[in-house]
Amino acid sequence: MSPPRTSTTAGLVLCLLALGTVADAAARREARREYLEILSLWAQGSRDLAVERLAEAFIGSEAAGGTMAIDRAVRPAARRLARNLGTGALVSVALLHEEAYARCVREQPRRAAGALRPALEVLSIFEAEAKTADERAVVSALLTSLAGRMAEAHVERSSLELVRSAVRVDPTNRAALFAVASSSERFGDHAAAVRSLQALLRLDPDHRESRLRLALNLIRIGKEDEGLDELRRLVAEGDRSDWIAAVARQELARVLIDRDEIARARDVLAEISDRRRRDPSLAVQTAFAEERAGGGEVEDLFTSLSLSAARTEAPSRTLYLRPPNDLLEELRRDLVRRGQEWSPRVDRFLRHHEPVPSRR
Amino acid sequence: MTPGRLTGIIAAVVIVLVAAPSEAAAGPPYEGRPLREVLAELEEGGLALVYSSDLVRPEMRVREEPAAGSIQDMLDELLRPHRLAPAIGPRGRILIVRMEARPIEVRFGRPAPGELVTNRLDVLLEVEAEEPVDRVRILVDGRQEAVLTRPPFQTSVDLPAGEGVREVTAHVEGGWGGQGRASVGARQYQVADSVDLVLRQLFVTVQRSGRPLRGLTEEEFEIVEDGARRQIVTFGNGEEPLSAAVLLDLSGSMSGARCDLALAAAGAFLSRLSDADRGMVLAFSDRTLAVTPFRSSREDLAAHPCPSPHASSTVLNDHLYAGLRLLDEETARRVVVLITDGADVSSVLDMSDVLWKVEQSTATIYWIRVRDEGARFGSAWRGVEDNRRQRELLERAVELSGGSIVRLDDTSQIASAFDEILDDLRSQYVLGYYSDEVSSGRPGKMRVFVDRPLADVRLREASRGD
Repeated sequence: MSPPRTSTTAGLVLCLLALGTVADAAARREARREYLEILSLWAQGSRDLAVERLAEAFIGSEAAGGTMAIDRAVRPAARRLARNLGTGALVSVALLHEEAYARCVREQPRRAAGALRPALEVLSIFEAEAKTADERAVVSALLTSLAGRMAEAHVERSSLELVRSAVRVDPTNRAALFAVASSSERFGDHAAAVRSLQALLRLDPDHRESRLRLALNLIRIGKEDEGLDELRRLVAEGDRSDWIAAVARQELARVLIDRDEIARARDVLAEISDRRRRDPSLAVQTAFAEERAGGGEVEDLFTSLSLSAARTEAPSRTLYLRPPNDLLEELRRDLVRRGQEWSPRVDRFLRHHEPVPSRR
Repeated sequence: MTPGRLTGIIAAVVIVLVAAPSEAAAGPPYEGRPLREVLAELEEGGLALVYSSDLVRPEMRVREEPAAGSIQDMLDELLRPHRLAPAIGPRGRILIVRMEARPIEVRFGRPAPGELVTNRLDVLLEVEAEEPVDRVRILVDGRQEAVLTRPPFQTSVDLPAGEGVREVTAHVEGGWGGQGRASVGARQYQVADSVDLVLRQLFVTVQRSGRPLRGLTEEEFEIVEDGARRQIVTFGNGEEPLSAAVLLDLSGSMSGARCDLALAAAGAFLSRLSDADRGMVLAFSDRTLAVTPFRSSREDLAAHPCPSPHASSTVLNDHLYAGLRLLDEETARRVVVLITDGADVSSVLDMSDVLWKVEQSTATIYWIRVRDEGARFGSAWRGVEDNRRQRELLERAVELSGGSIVRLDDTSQIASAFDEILDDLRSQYVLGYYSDEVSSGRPGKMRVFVDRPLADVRLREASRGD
C-alpha cells in the first residue's frame, strides 16, 4: 500500500508556506528598519534625503504591483510615537508623508497613489487620537494640506472629500472652507461654493478673494443682485491694481453688457488700472462693449493686443484658476513650524526607544 | 334642309332681285330725309316692305347717308339707328320690326386680373355692341368712380390709400336698351416713400463628396430670398482677394513640436497668398502671445518663437472675437483660420457673444480642429456642461459663417489642412443680387441652389452696399 499522496502534497504546501512566512518576516524587518531610518533622517533635518528615500520606496512598491512591507511599517511606528510622545508628534510624520507624496506626483504621477495610502493612514491615526480642539485643528490642517497636494495632482474628487472631512473636524478651518468652495466651483456645484464661502467670510469678513468668488457664485445660482452688490463693493474699495479688483470689474461689466447697459460697462472697465489694462481679456471686452454700442476703433484693439503680447505677468483671469493659495500657504507655514518643534523630540525617541535595527 | 333656312334663302334672292333697278336709278341723297319717305321710295322701286306706323314714325329721319352696296345692307344702315331691322315676312315680303336688344360684350384690357396697382388705377375697356353705346359706368368696390360716353373707353381712377383687392366693375348701357357688365379684381398695395435696394454678395462654396466643384456657370445657380427667386447680377469665381487672420492656440497640448509644426504651416499659408491678399497671425494661450499686422509674411512669423509650455489655460473665445473684429477694417474677402482643440477656459466672452459677432461679420471661419484629449473638463470659470455648450456654439459659429471644420488626427497633417482651406477659398463663387429689403430691416433668409446632383452648398454673405 503506497502512502497517500495527499499527505505528501500537504506537507510540501506547509513547507512552502513556512518558507514564505520566514521570507515575509525578513521583508518586514527590512521595511521597518528602512522606515525608521527615513524617520530619523527627517527628524534630524535631512529632509530632502528622507523625502527622496520614502518616495522611492513607495514608487517601488507601486511598481511591484501593490502594497509592500514598508507600508506595514508606517502604522506601528506612528502609533508608538503618538502613544509615547503625544499625538502632536504625528505632525512631523504626516508632513514627511505629504512631501513624499508631492515628490511622487512630480516624478511618477501614475504611481503616486502608493504614497497617498500611508499618508492617509497617519492622518487617520492622528484623527482617532485627537482629543482637544487644538489637536483637531491640527488634524484638519494636515488634511487640508494633503488635499491641496492632491488637487495639484488633479486628484480632485478625492481632494474635495478630504477637505470636506477637514471642515467636519474643524469648522473654523478657513483654508479648508476655501478649498471646499474652490473645488465645488470647479465641479459646478455653485450652491455648495456659496455655503462654504459664506461660512468662511463669517470667520474672515475681509478675505477679498472669497468675496469675489462669493459674488460670482451668487450670480451663477441666480442671486444676481446680491452678487452684483458684492462686486460693486469690491470695485468701490479703491484698490485698482490687484487682480481681484480687475476680475470684479470685468465680471460687473460683463453683467452690465448682458443687460445692455453698455455705457455703464464702459465706465467700469475704464477704471481698471494701467497695470491690469494689459490683460488681453480687458482689451477684448472693451472692444466688445464699444462695438455693441456701435463704436470702437479696431486700431485700439490691435494696439492693446500688441502691448499685452509683450507682458509676462499672468492674466487676472488665469490667477482666478489657481488652486487655493494664501490661506493654504499660511496653514502650511504653521504646520511646518509645529513639525519642526516636534522633530527633536521625535529624534530623541527614535534614538533611545526605537533603535534602527542593524542589517542582517 | 329645314324650312326656316329655305325661307331665308328665298328672301335674300328677292332682295337682290329688287335692288338692281334702284341702284340703276340714283336719286337724291337719303341723309336728313324722313325715314318713311325713303322707305316709300324703296317700295316704289319694287321692294315689298311691311311696317307699322307705330314703328316708323313721321319724325324719324335718316341719320347718315348709307354707304352699303346692297339693298339689304342699306336697309340695315337706314333702320339700325332707330333700333329697327328688316326681317323676312310671308311670301317674300320684308317686315320692318323692332330690333331685339342683345347683350353687350365688355372686357377689361386693364387692369388685368390680379394686377398690382398703386393709388392710381388705369382702366381700359373693350366693348362689342350692335347698338350704340350710351354710357359706361366704372365702379370700384361698388362705388361709381367715372362715366364714359364715347370710345375709347379708357380712364384713370384715384384710389383711396389702402391695401387689398379692389373689385373694378364696368356697366355698359346701349342706346337700344342692351347692357353689358364685367368685373375684375386688382390688388392695391401701399407704396413707401422710398425703397432701398441693397446689393448683396455671397461667397458660395460648392462641393461634391468633399471636393470643390469648379467651372460652374451663372445659369447653374439660383438664389432664393424669403421664398422669392432673385436675379443674379454679378458672378465671379474665387480669385477675389482675401484677408486672412490665422489664429493659433498654442496652449497646453499645442506646445513643443506641435507648436513648431503649427507655426511652420501658418507661415507656409501666408507665403502662398497672392500679392493682392493680406494675412496676419494672432497666437494665444491664456494670454496673447503674438499679433502681427495684416500683410505679414512667413519671415514676420519667424520672429515669434513658440512659447514655453507653461499655460494650461486657453483664452479662445476672446481671441476669436479679436480676430473677427480686426478683420472688420479689411475690405477684401474676410477669412479666419483657427487652429485649436476648441477648449476655452478663461475667456471673458461667452461663445454666444462671439456668435453675435459672427452674425455681424462677413468673415468665413475655418476651424482646423486638433484632436481633443480632454473633451470633458470643468474649471472655476465654467463647469463641464457649460464647456460642452461653448464647443457646440463654436461649431455653430463655423457653420453660420459658411466655413468648415477640418479635423486632424495628427498635428503632422496641419500643413495639408491649410492647403485644403486655401483650395476651398480659391474655388469659391461670388454671386451678387439685389435684395429689396428696406435698409432698416434685417436681410431675408437666403438659399442658393445649384443645378448639379449631390452638390453640397455653403454660403457666406460677402459684403453689403447700396
